[in-house]
Amino acid sequence: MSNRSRSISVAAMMAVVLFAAGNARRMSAQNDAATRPKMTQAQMLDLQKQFEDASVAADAVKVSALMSDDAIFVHGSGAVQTKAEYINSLTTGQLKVSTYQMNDGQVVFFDGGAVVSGPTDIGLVSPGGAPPRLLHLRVSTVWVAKPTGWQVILNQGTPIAGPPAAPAH
Amino acid sequence: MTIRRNRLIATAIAGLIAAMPLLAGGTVSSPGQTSQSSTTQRDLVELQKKFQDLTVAGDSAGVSALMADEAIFIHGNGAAQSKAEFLTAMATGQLAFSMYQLKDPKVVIFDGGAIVSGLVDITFKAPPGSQAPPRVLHMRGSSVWVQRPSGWRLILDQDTTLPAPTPAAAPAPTPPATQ
Repeated sequence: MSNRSRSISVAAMMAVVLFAAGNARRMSAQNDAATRPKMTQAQMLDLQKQFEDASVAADAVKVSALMSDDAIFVHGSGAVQTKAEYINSLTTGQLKVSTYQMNDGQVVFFDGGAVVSGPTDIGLVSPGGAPPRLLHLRVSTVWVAKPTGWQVILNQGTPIAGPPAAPAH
Repeated sequence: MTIRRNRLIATAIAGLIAAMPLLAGGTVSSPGQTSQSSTTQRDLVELQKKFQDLTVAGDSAGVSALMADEAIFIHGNGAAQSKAEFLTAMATGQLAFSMYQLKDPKVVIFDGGAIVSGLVDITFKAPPGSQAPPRVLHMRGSSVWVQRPSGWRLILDQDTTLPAPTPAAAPAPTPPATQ
């Protein structure tokens, strides 16, 4: 075999090995996406309810598990909190939530996450035994699928102008 | 003879090294496309600015190209619009901005998307013939961008109106962290 032929053979073999390695890596990435837990709309709404209920219960462990470390929480006042600040305000009682309920939630999925959005009733406990302050907001929660489970990465509330719609009879 | 052989081997190895990223499963992006790994925070802030500038220009086609079909747009008064409704409001002049700016942006990148959040100033165009000063809103806005094969698309834009600033003479109270 000539030197030239030998070089070409070596190059061809290396190309095959690299191509196989590349395909394996690509398939691995596809498998990662495939192993992300698939969620239905009902499951996403249930997850949203878990977050709301944990906030009402001031369950720091549960809220923490459901929030990404880099989550942004934008309140209806426009005030912004990090995950740590939100949990701290719940545990210190600075933020006491008596009601947190999304109605008619809409779910929009995207690759790797979902947006859950809808009109939301929020009751805040007022100091001194005064009646709770009731807020009607449009809340959007962005959930992302992480290897450890689904977590909130953005929660934003916007007050809905005008009186809330009367309940249907 | 040895020199020639070495040159051939060197050429073969150089060719392989050059082709390695492609062979090893990498992708080649077409111009204008960015893979998530190469998209920087600055790219996303620029993307956000592009969306805002197109909205101010009333460029429905440009805005449409940057929005996912299932996008949700939540205005500072809590009104929600679909992509189609947002574009219609732009096209009919119901929604006409003369300014749409993001200040102090913060970018959070996650697997498959990113959030661009910050203080938003919006000025509405005054109706023709109106003597009233243009309406200015100061809000906290968040835009959620997702990566699609065709590029980055806006899937959620939500604004929350900020309370009016307190008079400079009065001591500013600590804003309560309320819902």
